[in-house]
Amino acid sequence: MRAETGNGAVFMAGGIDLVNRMKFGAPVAEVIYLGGVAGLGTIAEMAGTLRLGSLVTHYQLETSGIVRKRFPALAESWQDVANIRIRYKGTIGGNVMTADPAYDFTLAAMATGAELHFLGMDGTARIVSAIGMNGALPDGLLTAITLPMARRPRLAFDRSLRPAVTLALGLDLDNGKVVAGRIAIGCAFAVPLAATLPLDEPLPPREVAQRSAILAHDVAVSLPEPVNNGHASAHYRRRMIEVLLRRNLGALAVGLA
Amino acid sequence: MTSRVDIAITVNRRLYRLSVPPNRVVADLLREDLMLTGCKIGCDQAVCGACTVLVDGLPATACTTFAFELDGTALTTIEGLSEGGALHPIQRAFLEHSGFQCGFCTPGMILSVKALLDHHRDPDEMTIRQWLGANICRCTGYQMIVEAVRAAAQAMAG
Repeated sequence: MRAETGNGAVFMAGGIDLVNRMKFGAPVAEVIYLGGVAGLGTIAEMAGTLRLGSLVTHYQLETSGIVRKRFPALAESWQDVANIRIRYKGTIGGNVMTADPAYDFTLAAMATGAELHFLGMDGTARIVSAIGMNGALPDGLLTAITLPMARRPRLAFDRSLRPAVTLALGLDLDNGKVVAGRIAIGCAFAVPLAATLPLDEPLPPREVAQRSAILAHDVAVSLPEPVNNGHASAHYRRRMIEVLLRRNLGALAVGLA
Repeated sequence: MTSRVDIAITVNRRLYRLSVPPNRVVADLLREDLMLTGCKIGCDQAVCGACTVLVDGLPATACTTFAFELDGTALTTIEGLSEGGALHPIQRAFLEHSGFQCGFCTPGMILSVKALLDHHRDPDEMTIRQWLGANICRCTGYQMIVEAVRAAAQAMAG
């Protein structure tokens, strides 16, 4: 349908952002309402991943038994996202596709090392790594987000400095060592931004905790210039990225030791 | 864009069959077509909660919900909360505990509380405050609203 109607047509999931954008004059010729599309609102374990349909609401994410079992920090953190009305209606797919740097689910997808599944206008499927996306969203319909479970990613979210900076952190464990880390930063750049933890080799969690200040500094200085606006200066944001990363990396690693 | 969409919705226990423009939001439908002006428009951006209505018992933002989305659902506005001329216990509690001043946020606030108490019969203060984070009141400072919610919970339980 979207291919037939052209660029003026937009997909609508929960619709909260879309309606707001239309009120501010966004050119929308056709709305393709996804509300009744079966299968896009389910949560299931599939081939070593947790598969979240793009129409899964924030409330589903918060209360799902599977999410609580596999990604408890994600479910727990989602109790504080927006408010109960938004969580009932807003979807994780809409959250990603809006590409607002202040929104949270893209950060969760980046921190978990998730993959985004799109259905293109020509009907072909395309899979995109969330951490490699950095604001470049493919054209097409987002159908699902899959979170890998094999390396038992452990997560931390910090929204305490919103709207200056938000941060999500994911650590992968293998044989008791931290083998990879992903950092996702919201509010501080024009788009949600991802970075990787500069680990030369797998490290025991205790050593990661001990080196958290150095690792956080290395990440913070490697990032592009943050935005400078009424919420916070670019300098403050970079400094707070370092502070939040040090705190969360230290706490998460200590909890794993 | 399609010119009209046919929908059937139940509003305050009464079934309506309507033909609406696809970009008609629920707040305008209620206020201008059905004359249910208890649904207030504050921020008009899904933030303040003044336009809160209940859709199948769950709180929803009428200002950012298209009318066509509600096809087949049951809607409750503040006008539909009382029955037989008697105030709902939540309305009575707000009155008795001075849970409002200017009253603009009150319809949305009361409907949010209705959904809260339908889900949690005896919510603690943190749950009440977290839930009401979805509704902004610039007059009362919230303390009396929280007291009204507690009183309403007791009244509805007993």
